[in-house]
Amino acid sequence: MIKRITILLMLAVLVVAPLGTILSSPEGLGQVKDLESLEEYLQDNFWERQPLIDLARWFQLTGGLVERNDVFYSEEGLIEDFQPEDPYAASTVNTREIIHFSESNSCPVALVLIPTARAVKQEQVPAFLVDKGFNQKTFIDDSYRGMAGYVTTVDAYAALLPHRNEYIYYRTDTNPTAYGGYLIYQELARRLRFTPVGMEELRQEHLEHHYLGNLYDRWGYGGVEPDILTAYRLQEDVGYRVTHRGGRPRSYFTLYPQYKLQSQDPYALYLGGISPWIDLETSGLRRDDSLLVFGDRATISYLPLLTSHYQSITFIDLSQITTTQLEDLDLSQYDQVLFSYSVDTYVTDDSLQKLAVLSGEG
Amino acid sequence: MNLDSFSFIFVFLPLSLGAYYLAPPRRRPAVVLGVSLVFYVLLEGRWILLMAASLGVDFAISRAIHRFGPRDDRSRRLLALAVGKSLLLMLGSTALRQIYQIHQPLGIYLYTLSSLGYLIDLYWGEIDYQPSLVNYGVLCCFFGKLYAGPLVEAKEFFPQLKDPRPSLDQVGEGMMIFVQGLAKKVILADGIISFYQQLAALTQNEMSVIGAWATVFAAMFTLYFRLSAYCDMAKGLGRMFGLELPDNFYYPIQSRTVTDFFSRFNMTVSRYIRHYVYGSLGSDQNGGLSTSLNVMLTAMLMGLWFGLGINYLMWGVFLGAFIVVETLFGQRIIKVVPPFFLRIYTFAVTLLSFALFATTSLRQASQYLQAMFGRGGIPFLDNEVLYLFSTNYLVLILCLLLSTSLFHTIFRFLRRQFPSGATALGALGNLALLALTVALML
Repeated sequence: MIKRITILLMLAVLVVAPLGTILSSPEGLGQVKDLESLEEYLQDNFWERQPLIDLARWFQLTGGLVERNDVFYSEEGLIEDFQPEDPYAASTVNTREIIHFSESNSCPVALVLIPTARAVKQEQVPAFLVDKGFNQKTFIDDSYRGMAGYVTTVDAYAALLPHRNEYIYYRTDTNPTAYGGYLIYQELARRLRFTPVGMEELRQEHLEHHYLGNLYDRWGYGGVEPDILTAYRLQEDVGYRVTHRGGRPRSYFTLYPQYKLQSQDPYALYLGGISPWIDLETSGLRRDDSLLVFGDRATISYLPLLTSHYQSITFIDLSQITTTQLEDLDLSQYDQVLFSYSVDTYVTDDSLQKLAVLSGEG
Repeated sequence: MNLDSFSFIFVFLPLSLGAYYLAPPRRRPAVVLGVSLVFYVLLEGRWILLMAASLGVDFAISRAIHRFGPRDDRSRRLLALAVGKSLLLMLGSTALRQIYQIHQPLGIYLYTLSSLGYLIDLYWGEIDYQPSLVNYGVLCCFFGKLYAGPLVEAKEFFPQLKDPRPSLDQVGEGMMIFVQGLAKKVILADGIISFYQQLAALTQNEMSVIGAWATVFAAMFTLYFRLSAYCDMAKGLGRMFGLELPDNFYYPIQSRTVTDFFSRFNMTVSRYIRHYVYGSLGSDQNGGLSTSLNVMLTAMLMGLWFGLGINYLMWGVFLGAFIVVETLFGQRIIKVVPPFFLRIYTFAVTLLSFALFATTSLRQASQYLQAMFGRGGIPFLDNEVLYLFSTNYLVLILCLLLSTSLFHTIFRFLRRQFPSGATALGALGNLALLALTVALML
């Protein structure tokens, strides 16, 4: 009798599961065109998916799993296990271009290499692997040593390390948080000799409490607390205009267009997202300095804070911008140039080669 | 769509079973063939034409052999043609895959050898001619067995197609065997494959003695669990469709001798080679030297079953050498040594053999063997290997336990002592296994 019941239950599962899937997500069925899309539809919408994901996570974690798709899991959050195959192939090019840029322009140049969480939050890395693989601290020190005399270097690693047990990197994203960005900004201010805005002068607003970043799907098993997206606003009355050029041109009159939280990429809350070229204009401050930033997604963690010190900031993403667009850049209008990259971008993306255009060699 | 995909388990399988059970019993073989061909087209597309052509030629040859009669000269010539065509197909497709990375169609060895075995039996007069193209097609093309077998014998298979009326119990048993095979694939095989790949990725500088042993251990279990999982799924699917497929593995890890290992590992292939090759060469009837050569040839063919590589050939030679020694000189020793020590001996020999199997060259195999015995001053243990053990310990323990008949023995005991309880436990266990397996597939 028990055996018969089990057999009938199993047969029922064969029928109920796909029916349940279709009934719970009928709209997705229209996207099914072939076997591959059918498989994807079933996997993404499977009946009672979340309890099954929880079961899978329990089993995998019980079995000792701490890493999946190069993402470490701990209760404190996810960390990407960044291990470049050849850390010097792209970085050598980038370093050479920065030095050449510095030599061929009169504008002072600064460089920030932002370590990833793998290098800073080592208590979340499995004990056996802490000292294994690519050493970001050594890489940053060697890179800075190679550029001594050409650029002002900013030790973001030293700024972040004492705060490693605080919320300085997102739990589900590779980027530093707004607070992590603030710590980098403080160190940058020290090196560029301006007085950073104190925390007590900033109004902290948590604009999103359920952000799931670029590591969440890679990990795939959930069980990680969502992230908080925070805006730091100046207390005084300041006006902003953020203009995106290249890509999809658009403008905002705020550093944090909150409607972006409803979009596919909630992280676009910060400055409206990343475009090849972004101009930030600030009004209401008694400053007229201008800053040119060559950076990546990690730079966005603290870029809004720099609007307190520069009337105009131009952010260029060299991985997206074309050389034709780059030729429109007038270096003479800037008082300071800042190169700001996460270490993982710096060692894998040699887009800084495009700087040759600005030196007339492109 | 593979056997362990959602689209197969929750769409193709229910629809196929529905079509099968709605059809009248005498039409069911045709439904099985139709389902198998649809499955093949969905996976392999136009390669079905190759299968159809090859089997079409063989079926025509079977008709001719039937017309000319068993052991007739004309029948022998036709059989030689079929053998030549089959060898060309199998070896050619393997060579093209290994050298030029050209896709090797699914099941080419299995459907070719199934058909060839039938032709050989027909030539020798050991089986009646099968006039039904449908039945012949099911023998060769049943979709469940195309991945890893088992290799079925026509004389055991054809009688099942006369009037298939599987009971609900058979369907249920088939489902449970399928679920167990699926779980073996998803939980054990995929887990141990991941462990093996991470170990194999360690560089020479990161290699340690324990790491080398662990790599070879993982290679052995990768092969075993992957193949046996697919064979279990095939057996389960077969039973759901009223077909009884033979077992292909029977706890080979707990074999008492290397000879025993070959009779438990890839059993149907081993049996096929022994019947059609070893038997044809005179098996052990012509003295020690002849027996040794026949054993070595058989063992080499068992190795080459996995691919045309020197490592597979040497794997067969290595194990074949032990079989020769056991057969010719070891019988008296085997009788007196306790089974426990025999199992350790066999496990050690088969484990060492996988240092040959898992590598792509003899040089690499030599490096692994040296590392396994601490040559070259490598460390005994390494942090990287410790990390891999710590993150895969559950899969390793399950692989070790489930490669033995321990759970089978315990469950048999429980069924004798507490029949209802054991049935309930088995039922719950299978449902839980299904849930966990589906969860891990997401």
